[in-house]
Amino acid sequence: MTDSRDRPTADALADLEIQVAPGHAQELRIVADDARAYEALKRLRDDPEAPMQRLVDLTAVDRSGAGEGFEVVYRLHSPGTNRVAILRVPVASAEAGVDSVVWLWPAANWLEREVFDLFGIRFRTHPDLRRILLEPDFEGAPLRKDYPRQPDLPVPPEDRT
Amino acid sequence: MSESGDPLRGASLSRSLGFSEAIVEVGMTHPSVRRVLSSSGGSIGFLVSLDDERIVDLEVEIGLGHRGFEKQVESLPWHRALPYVSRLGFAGGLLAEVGFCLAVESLAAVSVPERAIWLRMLGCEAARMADHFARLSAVACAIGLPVAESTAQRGEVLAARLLERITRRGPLDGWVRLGGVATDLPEGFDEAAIELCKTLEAVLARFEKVAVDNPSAQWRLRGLAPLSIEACLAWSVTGPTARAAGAPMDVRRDAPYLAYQDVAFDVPTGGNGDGFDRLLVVVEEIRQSLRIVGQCRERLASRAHGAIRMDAPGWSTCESDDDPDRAARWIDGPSIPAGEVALSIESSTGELGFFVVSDGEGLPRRIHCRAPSLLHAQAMPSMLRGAHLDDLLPTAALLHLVSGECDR
Repeated sequence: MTDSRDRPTADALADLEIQVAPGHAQELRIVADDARAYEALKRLRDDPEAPMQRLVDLTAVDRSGAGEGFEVVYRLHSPGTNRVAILRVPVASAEAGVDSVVWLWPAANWLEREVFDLFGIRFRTHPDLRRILLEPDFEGAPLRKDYPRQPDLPVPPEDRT
Repeated sequence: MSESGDPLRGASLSRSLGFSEAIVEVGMTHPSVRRVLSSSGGSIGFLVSLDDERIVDLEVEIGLGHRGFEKQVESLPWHRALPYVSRLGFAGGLLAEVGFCLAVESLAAVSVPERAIWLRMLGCEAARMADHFARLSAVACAIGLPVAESTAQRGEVLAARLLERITRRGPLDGWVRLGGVATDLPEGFDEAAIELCKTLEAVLARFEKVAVDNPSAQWRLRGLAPLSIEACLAWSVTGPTARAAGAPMDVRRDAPYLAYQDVAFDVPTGGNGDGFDRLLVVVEEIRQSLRIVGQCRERLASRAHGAIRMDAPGWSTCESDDDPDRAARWIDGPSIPAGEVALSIESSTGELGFFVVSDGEGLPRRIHCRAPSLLHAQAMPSMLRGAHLDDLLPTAALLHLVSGECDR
């Protein structure tokens, strides 16, 4: 399954002692802990073989209930080689958060704000961390699994037909 | 038009005239009002800091149209997400439906019948044309070319009619299903489609004549809100905007899905990354879509026969009541094994992605949509700082920010 074309990118991360596995064709799947994630992302971006110049997407998953917590997921793309990397960072606590990658890819700005808004995960060193989709005085983090889906609102009697 | 160099160099014009700098609110408009800002269904607003009429800074306001899309679809069985997914797009909601289905089918490691693949591709290109024409009509409106505007609107109507012929239903009516599509092409589709495509070509040629070749359009759009390749990569800008900057990125070619590897089409690119290049790229992409539509039509008529939907419990429609077990599975939908998939399609707005995670039981763990409009809206200030206030609306129209997708 290991494609030799994937190796240079994996090598760039070798001394970081993080878990790298080839996914589908041209795809690397990486799991890094919070302390090493920023360095790993930086190396992927600057990798001479396949520079991951583009942050395709950044989001989070709430795995609570499955015995785990939050996870921040980064999707990277190297336009020259069309290689893709998916890096996952388990988040110890939402309040402590993870390092912001705005300094690597400016596109992360709003994506991190969205995760902060909907999951309540903090991004350290983010220059402007505030809500983006919800109103500023909204309470709670709706995409967390412990946030209930709002019940359908009752139709007021005068609107019933 | 924006100028090179530091736009704020020298004294502030407003201050030297004795005024203070002004902050002006542009938008939001209601999504159903079809004018420039909202021609893409857009409740997106702007707070513009002005020095005289020059844009000093710009804040893009999004979120008014937030509907909790991801929360909703994570609370429902997989197949019941589709009506929400189709509302992510404007005229091209079908593209999002196809992207979602591909992600879920890939997660379940199932493959849909060949005919369904070609039908979906046909639908995608018709939807892309409709949405591209909607974008062109908004641009024409923003720069004051009423003839070009109505021409593009005609194109949008015709493309929507083609889509209606393909799906045998109106928009947002759930033609794309998990495991295939709902209905096959109607009788006499070929003749009708050939006729419609001919008219569409003529409408496109007319648009080129009244807009692209029009000196006033060129004067307005050349040098408008330029974005370099490097900036496109840094801000993760995709679609026609990135291609106009010279980045030959098109998911249909870079990571082919459906059967895009089996059709011939070109990926047009520009060189200056300005408004005029964006216009040219969008026009050319409609022409390429027409090419793909022709190839799909031929393939469907000659070779790709057979089923239009997978035949498996939970995936296929239950036509009769005589098998209660099958009917129950139809209501519950397909069961999706544990795992996760991230994939993208080339939508009319740009790279539209889905990230889906399943626990292997019941409800989805995570459904996330990578919305190109969100990233394009984010990049707007870097395109427009130092530009003229007049440049704001044409730029927004050319980016085609769809609030259904941006705000979710």
